[in-house]
Amino acid sequence: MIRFLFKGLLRDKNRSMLPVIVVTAGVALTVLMHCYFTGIMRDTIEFTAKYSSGHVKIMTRAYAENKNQVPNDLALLGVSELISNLQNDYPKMEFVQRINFGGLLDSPDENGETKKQGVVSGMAVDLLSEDTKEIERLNLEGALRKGRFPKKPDEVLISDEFAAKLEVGPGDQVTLITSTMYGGMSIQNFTVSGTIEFGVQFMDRSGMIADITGIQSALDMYDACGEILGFLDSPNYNDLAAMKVENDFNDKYSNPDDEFSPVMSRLKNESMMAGYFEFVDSFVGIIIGVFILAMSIVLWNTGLIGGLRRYGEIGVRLAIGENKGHIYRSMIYEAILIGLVGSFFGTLIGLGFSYWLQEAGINIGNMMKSSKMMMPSIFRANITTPAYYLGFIPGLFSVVLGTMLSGIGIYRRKTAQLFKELET
Amino acid sequence: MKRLVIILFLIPTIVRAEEPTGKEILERIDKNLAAKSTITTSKMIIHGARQTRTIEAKTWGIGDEKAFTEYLAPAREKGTKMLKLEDKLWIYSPGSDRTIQISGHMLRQSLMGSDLSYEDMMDNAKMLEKRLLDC
Repeated sequence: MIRFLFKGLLRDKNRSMLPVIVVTAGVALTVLMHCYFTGIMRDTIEFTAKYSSGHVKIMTRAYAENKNQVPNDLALLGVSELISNLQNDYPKMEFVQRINFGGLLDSPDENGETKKQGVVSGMAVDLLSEDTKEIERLNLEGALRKGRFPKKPDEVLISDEFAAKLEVGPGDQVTLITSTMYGGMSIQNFTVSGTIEFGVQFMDRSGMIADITGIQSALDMYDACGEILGFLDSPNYNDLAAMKVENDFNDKYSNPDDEFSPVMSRLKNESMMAGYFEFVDSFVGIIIGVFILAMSIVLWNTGLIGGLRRYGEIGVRLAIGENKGHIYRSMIYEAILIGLVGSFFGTLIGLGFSYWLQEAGINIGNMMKSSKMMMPSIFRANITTPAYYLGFIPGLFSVVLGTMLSGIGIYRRKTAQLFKELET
Repeated sequence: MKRLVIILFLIPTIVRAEEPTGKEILERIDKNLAAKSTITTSKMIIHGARQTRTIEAKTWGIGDEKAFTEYLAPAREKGTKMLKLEDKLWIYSPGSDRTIQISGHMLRQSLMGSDLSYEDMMDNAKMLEKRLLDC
């Protein structure tokens, strides 16, 4: 039966070509949209984790309350001991110190007077330890444009754009003017060892990456840091695992009565990310749902048109005595075949485009020139397991539903009027 | 004689009738506050979230347009110097051996961790000007 129907579809191109093309196009778009939205979601979450929040983040309670102001005067103290305890408690996790800081970066002329000056937005990470993973985590190798990585605590990387603005290059001296942890003035010289391109407009305008020890010295933060970021063993964020660590840590180390006691917060609970997760859960679902619905209506329409176009053929079949139920069922079987074939090719094409987007990505940097949000400039698709079967939902069900609806007309046709209809 | 006594009694009433205006009082206060040149040693106690710091400084001033301050304590700030000339401010840091003009958003930053900003320090407005602005 299936073979018979399949041959029919192959030989009668009018019956199969258009529906298959429409199903293929619709399914390809559905798969591509799913992969692209999933990719944006994954990129944004991982970018946030690597740059600012980790999978979990430890701060003092007072710092956490004002974290948007980056209050380094409320930073964690006794960090070495705390990290040592954390490594014992969670041996599979990695914990790293981070200090975010702001101020002015000043480049001197040949007389030592100010040549250029600009507001700097800096991040101190562990660049000098032998086993540091921060360079890889922040993709600094790929971001390096000129020079080399710092080899000493008083060497820094600044963004390529910022370096051009300050008229400095690798080997030149710059002076950081900022406040110490205790509010004193800090004026510290650094040597630019290299320039980097973050790929994030906000960071590219005024970014600076320094080794944590150099900044601890400059900001009078010995054995102190603003934040400790923790990364789970798995490459992608696992909210359940992060929640378990968060609850364990806060039960053990955090004291609600002491504003300087450490408190842990997981990625999903971070100020901007809490909304983002909810947004992603609902918005991506809604977008894909609406898209599938729209495609279903288009494909349903295709099924309807197919049914109507075959009005004459069905009349002949009824006239020669074929049972109405048999005709209706055979049309549904044909629709299933069309849906399967279209979904198969549509999924293949959709996955092909998604793979290309996964590798190449779409650069939205030009659209984010005035953005102050830290977001990746290049969004990539992400091929997940659902992408292999998701397209079959609109591809298969909508054509079948369309055919079922249009096929109801078969039962309304009266044998007595068949020849009259066929004559016209 | 009787007339003379009456006139003498009336003098305070006449003087009271010519009380100085608010503007004149402010002008006199400004005059009293300003000196041609000053040398001040000051101590500023800053109560921070974690610790209390005491900043000691010596300032040489000419009028209210020019001032030079040298920080004497604590150790980390010792030797830091600030020069104010009218509406410009320079800072010398012995650690970096750099003289840097403070401008832009940095002027609104806290001065040595206090609630004062560099901008506040630059404020040369006389009391009379401030009160006139308030009106």
